[in-house]
Amino acid sequence: MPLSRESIDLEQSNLELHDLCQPLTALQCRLEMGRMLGNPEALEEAVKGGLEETRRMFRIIAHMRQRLVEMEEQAQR
Amino acid sequence: MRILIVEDDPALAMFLQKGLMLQGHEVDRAGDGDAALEMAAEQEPDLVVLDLGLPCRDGVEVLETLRRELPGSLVLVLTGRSDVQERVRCLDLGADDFVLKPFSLHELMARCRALLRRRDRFADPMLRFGGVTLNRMDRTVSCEGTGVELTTKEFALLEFLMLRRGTCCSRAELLTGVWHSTPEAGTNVVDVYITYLRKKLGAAHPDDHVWTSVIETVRGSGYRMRDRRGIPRLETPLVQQQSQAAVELACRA
Repeated sequence: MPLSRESIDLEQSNLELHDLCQPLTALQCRLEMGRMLGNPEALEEAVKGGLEETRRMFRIIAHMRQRLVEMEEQAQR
Repeated sequence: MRILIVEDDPALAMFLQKGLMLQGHEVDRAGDGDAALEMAAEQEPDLVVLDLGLPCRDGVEVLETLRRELPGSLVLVLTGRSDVQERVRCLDLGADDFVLKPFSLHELMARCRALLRRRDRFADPMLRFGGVTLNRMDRTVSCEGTGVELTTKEFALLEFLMLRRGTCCSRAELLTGVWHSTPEAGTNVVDVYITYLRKKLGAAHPDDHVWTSVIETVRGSGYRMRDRRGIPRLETPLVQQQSQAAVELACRA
């Protein structure tokens, strides 16, 4: 049975949510590790790594926004 | 304890590894399903932290194989999918616990500790290695039938070493696992207690020098228990033999 548009969108959203969880978990772990160790190198590493993870999140969010625009366009048609 | 992290995200895997190593565990990581099964078969880890979304081989398939091939290893599943069916499926396939992403490093470490604690609770109370028998239930130790009196810390240290069954334990691991302290607190206390233990185990059979060598120093790494069968018996040096003979003669006279 072919999947409905809604089912495909739901599955896609689920996948994107999963993708977003990766950098968010890495960010959380990096910051906690920095705090746990507490030395200047660890804190520097946490900030540097944290910025990398936020960049990953920005890319995923941009992709999600793009897909929302497409969904809106399809709904208007 | 020996832990294998199976996670395809290198940044996340690295931080999980660092965090668990800080707790004194020996931690390796695999980036895909095939590597995970290979490493697990080789190392027989106490715990596998398994991400379900893996390249090469699906995490669920890895979980099924682990359960079949290594029933003694614990499996903690990491998943980004919150649906109930997924979680039920993992638990039914033999996962011991799961953590939903995003998660805190503290939560993951606490869950690992809880799993390992639970396993220890149901384990056989008798540990036997290198001729030493340790009863975890009534807290007694014997060396081939001769009882050895140990303090609480000495007992915990010996238990930790015996659970590792001849694998080297670093001083940092011992500090964390036995003293619940961080390696920054200094590792001298470990060396001091190892000396106490060696003396007490050696005193159980003073005529047999191998008992003092049951705990072996691994230079630059730490300590490990040694199977007594692997310890060569030293021939008594000639000078010592002569002096012993002289003592015996003097006693007879």
